[in-house]
Amino acid sequence: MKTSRFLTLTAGFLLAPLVLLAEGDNATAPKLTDANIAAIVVAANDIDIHAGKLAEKQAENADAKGLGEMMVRDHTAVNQQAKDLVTKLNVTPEPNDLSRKLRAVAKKTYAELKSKHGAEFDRAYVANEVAYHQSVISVVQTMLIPAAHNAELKTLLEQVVPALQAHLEHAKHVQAELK
Amino acid sequence: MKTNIIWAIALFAGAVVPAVPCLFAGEPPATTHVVHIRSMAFNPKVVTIAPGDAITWINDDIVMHGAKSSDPKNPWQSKDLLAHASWTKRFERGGAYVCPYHPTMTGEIVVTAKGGGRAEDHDTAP
Repeated sequence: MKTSRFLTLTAGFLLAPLVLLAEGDNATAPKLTDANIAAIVVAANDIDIHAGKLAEKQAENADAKGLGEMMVRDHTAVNQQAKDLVTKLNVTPEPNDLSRKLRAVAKKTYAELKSKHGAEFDRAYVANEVAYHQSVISVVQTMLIPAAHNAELKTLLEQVVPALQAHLEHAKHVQAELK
Repeated sequence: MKTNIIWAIALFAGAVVPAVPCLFAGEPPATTHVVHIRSMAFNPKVVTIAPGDAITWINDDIVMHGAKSSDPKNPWQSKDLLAHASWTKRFERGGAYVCPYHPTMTGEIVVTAKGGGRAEDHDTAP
């Protein structure tokens, strides 16, 4: 219920904060294992790397392109750290309902972004980054960190939050410039 | 054996010679200050040093950072700092700097005059 509500709201350009996902309905919230969390983290990073690579190619505005480069660079680094950690912990990322649906929604979003060009693409990409980071920060803080069992995984998640917040701040700055 | 003696002399000379001018001049040796890059911020944000002191930046974050002068008249830039990497540079002049990859991350180096006041940069351009 919670998951589908989030996915409905974030379809298109992810304009609703994912905080809704964490609100209420806790009784039906899926129990996340560390393997599930790892799969969600990798999916969330992959999605933003993919969109960032599109912006590197398709963005017209230098700041929108720069934002894409930042996303590719930082989320690739976070993904590598996550993959190194799960290898060390001998945990295999286990896709779950949320990670699968996250990828499905992102596929649709990517197709919509790809169909846009010029200033329209720039605005849509940056707006998506703002909404996406708001959502992901909320999920990491309210769902993933509390659910993480392994201390090193929890620490990694906690370390990711400031980076996501800096991305959000920068994306908002670029968004204001594009208006 | 001969090689070991040469190495010992070289190490002794390396350790002592740089300190000699300071002893004779009565000046304190240069200090190395540390700036930790943590949670997407330079910590401390403002570092106050004496002329000739060094600053070492250590990246405690999980994403790549760097430090780059914001002053076009005094350009310098660190190497790329991957997670856990560090980089050191000596400074005679202060100024603002930024992470080249995260424009929201800014810091400042303040170089104090030898008497304790803030050193002023003098523009020698005509």
